[in-house]
Amino acid sequence: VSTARRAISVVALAALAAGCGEDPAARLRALGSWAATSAMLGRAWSEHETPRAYTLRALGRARREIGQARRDLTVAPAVPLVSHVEAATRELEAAVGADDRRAARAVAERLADDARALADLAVRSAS
Amino acid sequence: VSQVLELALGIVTAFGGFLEAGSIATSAQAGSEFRYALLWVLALGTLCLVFLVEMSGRLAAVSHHTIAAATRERFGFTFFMLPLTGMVLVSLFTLVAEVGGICIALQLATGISLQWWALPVIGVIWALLWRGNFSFIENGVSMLGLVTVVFIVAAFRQQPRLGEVAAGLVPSLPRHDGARFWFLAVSILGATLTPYLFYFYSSGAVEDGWDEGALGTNRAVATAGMGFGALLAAAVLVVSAGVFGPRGIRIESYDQLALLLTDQLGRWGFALFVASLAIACLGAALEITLALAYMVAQGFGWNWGESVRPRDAARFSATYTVALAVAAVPVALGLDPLRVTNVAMVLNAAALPLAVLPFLVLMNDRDYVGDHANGWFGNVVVLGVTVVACVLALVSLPLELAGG
Repeated sequence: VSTARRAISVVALAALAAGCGEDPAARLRALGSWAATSAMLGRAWSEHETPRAYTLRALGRARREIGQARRDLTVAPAVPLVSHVEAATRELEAAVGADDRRAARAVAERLADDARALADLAVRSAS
Repeated sequence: VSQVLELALGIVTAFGGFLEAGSIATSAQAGSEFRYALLWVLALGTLCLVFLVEMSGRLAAVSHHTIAAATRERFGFTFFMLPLTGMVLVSLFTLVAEVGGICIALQLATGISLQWWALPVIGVIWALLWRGNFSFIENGVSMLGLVTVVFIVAAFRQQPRLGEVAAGLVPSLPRHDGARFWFLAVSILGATLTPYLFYFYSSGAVEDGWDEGALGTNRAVATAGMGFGALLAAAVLVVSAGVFGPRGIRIESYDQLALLLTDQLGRWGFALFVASLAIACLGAALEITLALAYMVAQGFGWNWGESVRPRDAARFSATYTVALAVAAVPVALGLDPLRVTNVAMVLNAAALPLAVLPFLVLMNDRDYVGDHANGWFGNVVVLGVTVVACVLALVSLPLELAGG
């Protein structure tokens, strides 16, 4: 009986952890993931590896995900960084829209740095 | 010479037809989040799949029964309705995922939203089924599927450390995100062990008129075809671990997945990924639609056969027409294809016992397979993996849905 009860508790705790979505480290990792996605999209487009229509659509999705995550964020030190990532993703969309590959490359490099900073913050937040 | 050619064709088509939306998506997600740590799950699922496919062909060759027809005959119609209902629901879900995969590939290629592609795609699949025959479906699309070899090329170009890749084949427990690890593990099992695959294989064997002389070919096709096919899924996982893992990208959308090959193949990478996704999903959608119609027609005792003219198997043709129409609706409504794919793969795993347990009874019944009954090892592997996959699916699906 005690083993079964322990197993049920483990499952319930895991369900809470998965369901409540309040883990700030997980949220920061998700933000870092979308920032890194934007960076990769910008780099690939600036190297003529992806079409513009796809790049714009994917950047739009990344910007929406970052914006949503910023609104839900409770880790105060991360807020300026996330706002910067959101603005940089907008800047990247504009560069792709204007067919400016050099500008896109520069923004993508900044976004890659921001993504690494978010990942570091997530690690620190978890520990 | 013709036997060697037949064998080679069988292996090549099994290899070319292995990948589909589920195996591409789940392997890429596993690689991006857990590097090579879930390779052992893919290996375990493949071992089980080799046994199941070989059994399907053996049942057809020895008894001249498909799985559905033999299950109905052996257990009675009332019992048969249980696996039939389960298989139809799960296969419909999987069909939505595959149609979604084709539509997302077209969206990636053209920029036109996937919803707009749902009806044209369904129309093309329906026309291919209506006008084509079994050989065309089995061989033609699978040959096109050889484009997915590009994932192996990319994996080689990436030059991963072989020791680390090999270590992933050793079963291990998660070091972080346990709920997500097991959800992806069961997704991989569901993507590898899709029940429609062995129902389709046994129906194809009956359509091709296999007899006991085909048992050697069957064994070779099941082992080599599925084994090499699993290498494609492993290559997707390895490439994803190298491309997305170090960047910290967790795959939540096909938009992210479309960048999988650009690091290794440059401007060709995007086009080849889109082509691979479209062709792999088209092949799977054709097979699932046919498998659905096979199951229903064989279960109800109707005329059936992809090589039979539609007017001579009207209810069979009507079944796949309805299945396609139903599958178009969620895609046309814009459901997230990656989310549908993940859920469909877990449902496949959850429904495995419905498909596998009666099948195992048949494969140990000498009235059907005579001296070619299963050995103990095959029974243990298939039963063990089926039970584990089902339990994991029933625990992890609610967790993942709750977690969003």
